[in-house]
Amino acid sequence: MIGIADVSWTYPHADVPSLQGFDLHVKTGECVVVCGASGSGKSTALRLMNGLVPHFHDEGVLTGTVTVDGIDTATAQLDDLGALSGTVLQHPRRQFFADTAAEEIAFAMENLGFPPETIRTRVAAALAGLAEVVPLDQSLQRLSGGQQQQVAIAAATAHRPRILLLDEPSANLSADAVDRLAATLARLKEDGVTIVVAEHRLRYLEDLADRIVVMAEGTIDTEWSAADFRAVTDADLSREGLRGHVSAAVLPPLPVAGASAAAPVPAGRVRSGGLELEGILCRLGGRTVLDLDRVAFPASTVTAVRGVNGAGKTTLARIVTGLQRSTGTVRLDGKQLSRRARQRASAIVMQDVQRQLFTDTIASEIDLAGTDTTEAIDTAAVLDALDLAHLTERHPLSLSGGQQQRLVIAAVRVAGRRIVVFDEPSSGVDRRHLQSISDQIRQVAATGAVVLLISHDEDLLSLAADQQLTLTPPEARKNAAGLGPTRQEAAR
Amino acid sequence: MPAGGATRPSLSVRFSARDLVSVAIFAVIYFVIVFAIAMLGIISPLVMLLTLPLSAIAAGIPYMLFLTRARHPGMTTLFGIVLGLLDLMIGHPWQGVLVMIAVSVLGDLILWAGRYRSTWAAIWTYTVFSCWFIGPWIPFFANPDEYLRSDHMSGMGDGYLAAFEQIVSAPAVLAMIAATIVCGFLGALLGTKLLRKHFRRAGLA
Amino acid sequence: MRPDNVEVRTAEHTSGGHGDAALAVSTGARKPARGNLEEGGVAPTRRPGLDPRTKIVLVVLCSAVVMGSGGLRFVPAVLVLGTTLAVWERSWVRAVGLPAVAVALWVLGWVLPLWWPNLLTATTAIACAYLIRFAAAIGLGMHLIATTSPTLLAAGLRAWRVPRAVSVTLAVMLRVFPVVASESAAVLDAMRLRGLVGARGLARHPVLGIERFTVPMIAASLRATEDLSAATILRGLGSHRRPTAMVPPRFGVPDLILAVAVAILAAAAVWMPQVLA
Repeated sequence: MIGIADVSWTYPHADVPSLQGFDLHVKTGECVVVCGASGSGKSTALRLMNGLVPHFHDEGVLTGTVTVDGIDTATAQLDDLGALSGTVLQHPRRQFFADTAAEEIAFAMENLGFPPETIRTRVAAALAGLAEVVPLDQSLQRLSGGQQQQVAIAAATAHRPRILLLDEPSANLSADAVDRLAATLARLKEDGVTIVVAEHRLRYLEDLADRIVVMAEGTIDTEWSAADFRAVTDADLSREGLRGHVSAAVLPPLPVAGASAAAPVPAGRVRSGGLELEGILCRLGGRTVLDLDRVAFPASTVTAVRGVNGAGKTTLARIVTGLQRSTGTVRLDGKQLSRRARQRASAIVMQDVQRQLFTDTIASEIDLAGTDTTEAIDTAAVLDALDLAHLTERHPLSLSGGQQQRLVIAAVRVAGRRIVVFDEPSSGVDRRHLQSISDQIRQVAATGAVVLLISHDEDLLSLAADQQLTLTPPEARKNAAGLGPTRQEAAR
Repeated sequence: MPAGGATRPSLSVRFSARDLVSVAIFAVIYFVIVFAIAMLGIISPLVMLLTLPLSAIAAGIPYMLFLTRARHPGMTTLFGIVLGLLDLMIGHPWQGVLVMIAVSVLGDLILWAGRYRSTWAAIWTYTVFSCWFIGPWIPFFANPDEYLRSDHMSGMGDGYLAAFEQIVSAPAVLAMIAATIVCGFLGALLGTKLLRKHFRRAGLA
Repeated sequence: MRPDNVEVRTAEHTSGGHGDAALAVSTGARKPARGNLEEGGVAPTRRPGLDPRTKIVLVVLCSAVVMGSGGLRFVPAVLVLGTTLAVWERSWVRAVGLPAVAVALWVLGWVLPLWWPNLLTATTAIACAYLIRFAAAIGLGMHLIATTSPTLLAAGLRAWRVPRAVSVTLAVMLRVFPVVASESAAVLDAMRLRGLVGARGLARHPVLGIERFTVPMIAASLRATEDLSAATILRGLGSHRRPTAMVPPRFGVPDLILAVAVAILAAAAVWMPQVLA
């Protein structure tokens, strides 16, 4: 079904090839897992199979041949390749074109010119399958990661392609969503769909995979049959930069009072000191998004902020850093801070760090960060500690994702901010660097800062966080409580 | 287009799907930048005097980056058409939309003369394109009486009217066009400079 | 129809995270809608609301009338239309905001100059006479953009035989809009935290201020739309095939009601005494 013979590929502007002497043959109906650390070329291997390599990268250099169902991908049109294969990228919400599940599932069939009657039948069937786990009338962007994944798979397979390609499908999923994913893939495999998964978490695919291919430096390093793989221990896997089972992070809860707390305590039991929030109420678009009576984040500590989509995690981060108006007061070390003052005391390390790189060299980025600090900070030592010292003249946007993130962390440390928020810092970053990201988060906390870590990554949370605050959508709680005790009563 | 195929400019007006998506993305970026900077001017009319030329200059940055991806005829024309239609849908006067399409076609001709590779052709293309900034004012200049002689102005006295009629005179309109062209040219130069300073080094151009 | 409008999405820009316990909550709250789907068991065959083509005609028509000569006469009618549509789509922000802006412009442009005539109010009055037309037109435009999904727009334009290049590009623009808007908002947030936003700084170094906003905004927008372009092109958008539509756009009762309403409002605008002159 898929034949890759002696392929080398160099991305435009890259110094070294991403794939070199790469050979892989996938039989019809087979399920192959391609794994390896980020940078090993597993995502590139997938892009080779759907034709994004070379068609999406002008001026990249490809040698060797790739055939999919007998078609040479280098000369085929992308939509012809798309008709043969379905692709689910790492962040489904970024690949959705439509607003609702029905439209999204119909999208490929509409563009490929299926008769409307067929489209309606298949969409109806797909929706019936999804109805159990996905609120179908909800905007796709508001669904949880696991729900988005289910819609993305339905949308990628509705035109009945014979191949399904998935890029790190479990990266942002909770444990039960991973189970659901495995069940969905098993059903597709039964239908005879050829499945290729690029993945670093492996155990959930154990009963599904016919072969597991481990990549390193752009070529195949090891190959396991399904039987071989069962004999491989998790310890062996982690030596390859891979993960077997992922266990949930267990962290002590931070006492918190208010309707947004998943497990509220009476306000009197909330400790004081550090960063204190009192009577915080925030409404956006006529809906209460955050309602916290009282919570205190201690300094020099990393607090994980957890909770479902729409629980108010982002809003909390924006209020704490002074970006979002709300009622209530925020105090740091007993001193009340205005919104402006909080902006000056805070920093966010964003999920997409390109948003916060402003200058044309690393050196000037650091200078810019240090312009309004009073205390002298040894910038050279910070750059050195973050492994950036040899790059000072490079353009920030030309760095790898991990280097860009470290640059932003360096800027935060040079600016000496007291409140630091990390927003999903491990998404799209090499798993081998998980430890180093965690170290950097800890180091920021060690400078005496109040650190909030928003993440769904159980591995990162167990490495980097000291305690957790779990939020829940305040309105849902009110509805669920029905005629239950009011907040005042509960607080007593 | 296989690897290496895009190095020679093709002169056919056939849009690949990637062309369409890239026109769409840059048109939205262009629109948002113009809109964001114009919004700064809402604070007061005096600031508006500063932000209007500023938005013509700032918008040169995404446009010059877009032109590095416009390697065949029709790209800038399509950009002008879709941006014009977007403006129409959010309430811009239709006269302005026609102006935007016209200057985009003109820009395409300039690029064509430079075989879609010339930096100076790109600079002149943006300079010409930025003339669309005059578009939204056309209803006002075309029919000033409607704004000046209407009832709500009648209590203002003739002195003001005379002053305003001076302002909307032909030389004033010409001066405004000239100022727009100068700003467009400056925007094109700024865009070219930032291409070198940022986007080429970041691998985006 | 989009259940939320663009403003809300922008405010919540980074919340599109992941997590699954939401399931219990959201399915519980949305029982009725799901019930319908299970009973019907089929994909939607009719879409609620106006046909996208009706909305486009409405916006273009009203814009032309309002911006044309003698357009002030029609401004109140268009404002009424815009506000009604906002109420109908339950966008309360716009339903309140649009009339509020119009009233503010009327006070500044019509009432204030009579009390206190001077050069400044005269200039303001002229600006308001223009801006109130703009506000009326933009009210309808926002309804179009907030209630039309990218696929619906593409289908509508195709039904008019608009060339592929234009219909596909417009549809992608509609989809990309919230992405670029939220990236811009995020860049502004990052600038605020770095102390790079401020009227004084912008006045002193306007070009530097522009550079610091536009460069990260463009870089982040291009990156945020990478997956979208790849996924849409692979699924055949913009290819040379002839697309079909799951639900071909069709004019229906709401379109008829709107046509009647427009006719009545137009007649009222012509025959009734002018409010704004």
